[in-house]
Amino acid sequence: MAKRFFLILILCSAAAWCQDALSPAAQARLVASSATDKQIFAMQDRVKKAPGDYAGYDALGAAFFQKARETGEITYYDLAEQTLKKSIELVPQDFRAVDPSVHMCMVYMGEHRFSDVLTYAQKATALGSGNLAAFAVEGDAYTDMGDYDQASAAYRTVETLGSAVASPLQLSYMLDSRKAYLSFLNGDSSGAIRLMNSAIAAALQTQEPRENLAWLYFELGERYFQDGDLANAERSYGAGITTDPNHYRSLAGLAKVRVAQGRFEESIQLYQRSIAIIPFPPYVAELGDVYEKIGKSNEAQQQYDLVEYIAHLSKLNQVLANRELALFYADHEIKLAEASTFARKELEVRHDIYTWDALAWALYKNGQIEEAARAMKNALSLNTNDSLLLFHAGMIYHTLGQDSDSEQFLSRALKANPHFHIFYADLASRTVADIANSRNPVLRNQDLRNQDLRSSNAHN
Amino acid sequence: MRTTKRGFCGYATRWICASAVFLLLFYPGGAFAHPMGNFSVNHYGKIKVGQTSVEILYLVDMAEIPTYQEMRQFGMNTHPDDAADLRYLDGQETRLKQGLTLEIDGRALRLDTISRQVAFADGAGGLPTMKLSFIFRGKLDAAAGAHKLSYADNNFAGRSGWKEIVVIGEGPTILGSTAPEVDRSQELTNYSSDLLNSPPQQLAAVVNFRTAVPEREVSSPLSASAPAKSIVAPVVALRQPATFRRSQRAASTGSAPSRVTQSNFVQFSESGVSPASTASSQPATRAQNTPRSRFTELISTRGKLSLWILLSAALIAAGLGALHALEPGHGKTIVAAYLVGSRGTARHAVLLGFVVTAAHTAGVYLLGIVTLYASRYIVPEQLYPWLGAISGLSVTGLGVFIFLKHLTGESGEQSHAPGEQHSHWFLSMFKLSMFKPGALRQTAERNPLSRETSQSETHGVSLRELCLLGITGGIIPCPAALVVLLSAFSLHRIGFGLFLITAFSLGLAAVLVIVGLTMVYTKRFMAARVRAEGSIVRYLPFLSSAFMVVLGVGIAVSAFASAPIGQGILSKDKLLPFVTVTLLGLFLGMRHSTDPDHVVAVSTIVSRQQSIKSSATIGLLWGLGHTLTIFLVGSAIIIFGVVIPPRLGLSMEFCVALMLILLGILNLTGVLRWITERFTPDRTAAWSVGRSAIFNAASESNGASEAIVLDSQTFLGRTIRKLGIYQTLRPLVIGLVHGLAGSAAVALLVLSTIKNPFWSTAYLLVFGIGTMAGMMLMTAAISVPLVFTGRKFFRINRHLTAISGLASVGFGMFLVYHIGFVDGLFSSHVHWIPQ
Repeated sequence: MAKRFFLILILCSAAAWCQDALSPAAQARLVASSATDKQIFAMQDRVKKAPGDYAGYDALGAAFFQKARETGEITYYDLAEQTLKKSIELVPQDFRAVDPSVHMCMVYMGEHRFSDVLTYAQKATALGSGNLAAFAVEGDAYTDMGDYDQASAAYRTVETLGSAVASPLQLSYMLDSRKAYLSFLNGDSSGAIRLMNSAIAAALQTQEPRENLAWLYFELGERYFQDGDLANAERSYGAGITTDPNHYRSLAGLAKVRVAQGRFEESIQLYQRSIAIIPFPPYVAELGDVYEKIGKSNEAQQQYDLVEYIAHLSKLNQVLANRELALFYADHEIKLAEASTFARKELEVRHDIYTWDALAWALYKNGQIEEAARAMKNALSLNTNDSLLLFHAGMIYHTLGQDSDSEQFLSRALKANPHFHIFYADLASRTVADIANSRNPVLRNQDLRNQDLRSSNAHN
Repeated sequence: MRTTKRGFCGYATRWICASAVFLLLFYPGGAFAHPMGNFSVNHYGKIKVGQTSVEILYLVDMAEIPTYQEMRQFGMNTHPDDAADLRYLDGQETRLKQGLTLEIDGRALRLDTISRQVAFADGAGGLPTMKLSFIFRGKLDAAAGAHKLSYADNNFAGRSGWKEIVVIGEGPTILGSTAPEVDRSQELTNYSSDLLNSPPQQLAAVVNFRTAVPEREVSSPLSASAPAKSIVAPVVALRQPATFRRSQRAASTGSAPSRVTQSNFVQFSESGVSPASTASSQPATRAQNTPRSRFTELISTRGKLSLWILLSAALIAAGLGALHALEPGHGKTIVAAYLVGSRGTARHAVLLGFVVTAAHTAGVYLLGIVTLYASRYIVPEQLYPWLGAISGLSVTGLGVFIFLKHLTGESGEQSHAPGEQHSHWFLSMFKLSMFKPGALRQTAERNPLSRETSQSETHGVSLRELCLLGITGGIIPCPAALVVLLSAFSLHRIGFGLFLITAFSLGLAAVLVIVGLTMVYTKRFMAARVRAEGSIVRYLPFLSSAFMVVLGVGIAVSAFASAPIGQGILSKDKLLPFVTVTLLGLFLGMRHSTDPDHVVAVSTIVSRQQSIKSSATIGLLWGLGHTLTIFLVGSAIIIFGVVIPPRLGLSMEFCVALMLILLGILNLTGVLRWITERFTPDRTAAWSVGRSAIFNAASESNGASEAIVLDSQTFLGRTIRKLGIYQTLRPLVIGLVHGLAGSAAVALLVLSTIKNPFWSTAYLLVFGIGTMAGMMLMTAAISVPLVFTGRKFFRINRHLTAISGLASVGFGMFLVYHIGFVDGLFSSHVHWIPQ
């Protein structure tokens, strides 16, 4: 008799359990706006139930990182770092520690802590799991730091290892966008475009998150734009926006295309949409430039002020190295001394060609032409086909009086992309014309330099 | 589990590209002022559902950068009563209201503004941050009854920030809500977040509520405190100290959350104190308010178990243990009875009782500890449904097994004359020890001993023997204890389950000791006592096994219904896949059983059979073995994503080839015949001493099947008994090997078509049943001509045996060649395409 009672008891408790399992309580809290948020909340639930679940913490950290990418929000970088630290604490120091370490690398990449990236990447590769991502992220760090040989060595390792362990699709997704960037830096624009296209084809098949796919489209758009192919650039940026309507970079990219097409009003709207998502200072400055171009200097000043306000905030936050701000100051000829200081500080962190370029441009604007030319040599070391880079070089050599070099660089800049900059494209063609005119040498150096300064002052 | 794994791998790789080169060029690192980041826009909606109206407290907290943008754009300053501020507030009110949707039963509610204000606080470096607050109200003229409210906040869609929604019922009862009742940020004053509680990102809420009869209307604080007309409150713009700091918790001196009136609201903006701050002492979410009866709480309450519940549960468990020990035909009673036969003393009885208890508890605990340990490393979220499913299935299996056993064994027990008791004990003891691999030898030794003791009654009982007996009797957890444990697993209360098991074992021990003692002291009445157990006790097992089946099915179904495995097999839209999977599985399974290697292997055995029935049984057994491995390996592939390397896969198929050759040779040389005859039933009398090497090896290889084999009381058992031990094992082992070779292929096939792991495993099971049925038909069909020719043409029959042997060797050789050289098992380049 009692046995029956016992069984009823179990039956009831089982029923109660069913009720528990089916109740939508947990799902109620999961009402979240995006897939990333859902992933975050799901993983939080998972680690709440299993506090020792390192894989759960790892996935949570990765989700926080993705959120940080999408929002640019410091909070999420912090959370990602803490979560991954926790995961690494929990995991035994064997191949299982590789995933959290690699994700940690990515967080540090986002924070521009390149030496930390290398530390963790090397730790991850030393664990010997043959994890491709560890090598790939190591290569990324080297690329950003300007150690291009080591970067391609790391990518080669990925390729060799990957052909054995990963599917061609995965490998293509993992490598092609990276190799595309290196190809671009090395002056092979068409190769870069080809690789980006194949990376996107792979990403479409492996069903990546929207933001990542949008990022690839944006990158492809950049390559097309730098190649002067406005139609394809427009299509790529557009695809980025369609994929992820909140992809502020694609929005700004399309805005840039609109500027090149002379459709300024549309451009302004696009920039405003981009800034409403993340006020990324270069885009704010570009919006200011568009206002300036159409004669709304009041609105332009507002945007420039906002950039400076953000700069002020980042100074409060002890961010002293900032390449973008250096370029902004140099371009708009404000706080020129700070511009070169920022660039030099950035050079302590990394010595890639764009940091050298920023330093060169800041020095040029400060009138330190000789030093600028030396820095520019470093920036041009890879023979990159970036119009802005070539333009900077052309202007520096022009001021130095090396007109043939200057003409060559400026023509190359204009040939690569006739619309590379809202002001500088015109300035470049004018300078080339001037150089041609002054072949019969009467009024050379002095006048041209004055004219150059005047015109840039007028624009800023 | 597989899907999750896949998802996880996705994580590992999907971020890879993500980070590619320049991630975020702009990084606002270091210390920062607004806890949510310099450019965040945080928004918050507190929805109060009243009897006659719905009120929304809508807050927008802008960090430094958006504040600067707005102030620049609208020419505002932070002075109070600034005209620009008022204009701005005007514009924002319209804009923000447009971004909000509030619907009652699908009908949009018009929102009137009750109050609005703007306040500034110092952020980083004294830079201002701005906080807007509005109270919107919509009139609720719905009749008393249940309603559905949906709310969506479409403002600042792309911006990062703290996005929170809370729903409070003031008057109406909230039946269900997708938003919590209590806010985390205390009205955007305290942004505390950690790993497990990242900033909320809620932008929509659905609330089901029930309005009461109108009398309570008067008591509603909302309608009492504010008139229904819209009021535009004077703008109060105040500089206030930084209350937004992450570390700073607002002092909880606010008034009760239910009384948010205009004056309160003003007070809030002056002091920065949240009216809801006292609410934090309330329970965290609505989710915990699920109604539960006191009875279900006995086991399923989480966190708290009062002493009396523990005690009563322990008492119940102990009582059940005691009853369990008294159940007829159970192994435990024989232990006590053994004492009588072996001239035991009271000391022996007590000792034996406790050895059994210890062994029993240890056995169950071992299982429990393994599970506990596993649950540390496997995410319980994923583990529990599977554990639930497995427990459900095993409970069902046990229930069916016990039911069948009692159904068929009842008469056998009845027919025992008192004088035969001993042999019955032996049999059940034997049966019992069969559950434990390797225990056979012990029992075999014990057998003559107990016989001797019963005959001469001169032997004493050694301590070692007692312990052995106790352990063999107790180590295998009895079904009831397993049920407790498995239920505890499915309730996520492993610790409580273990505690109950201890109590259960103690109860069991007490009875064993008492029975032992009684029997020691009243040997003479033993037989009478065993008989005295009434008919109720006899039918109890039926009832309990039936309950167990129902319970098991219940647990399994609910486990399958819970999230990670599947969406529930009971829902209607799942009926189609259910039927398809069943039909397809059965059909393909039957077809699969007619594969040439299967037919060849089985024909070597069947060719010797003289009856259709036994042939069919052989087919069934083969199918059982085949299903067993296919299911085990297949579900490992499906659930855990195990990958079988080509070489291993080929090697498994190679095993089949070797087995075919071996079978053929055995058949040809007549070894098979010798072995078969050696172990056919008329010789089984020889088992009682059971020392054959093959026999021992076999018993170790598969204890469970032997338990069935030796259970002479079931139908299957009887048929199998006729066939003999070797005959039974052979098709089973052959099936196992075949299953091993085929499982990877089958699982892969399933994987490519059925994505859901639950359906895949279900398919495997049905497929297995199909192969069993198919092979049964097949063997029966093969044996028909054999049986009919066999009687008249013995010679032809012998030739047939030889032919099947030759065919087996030939086919085996062909497979060896094909696998070894064509597929390249012996070469460096292995290619294996599972078919």
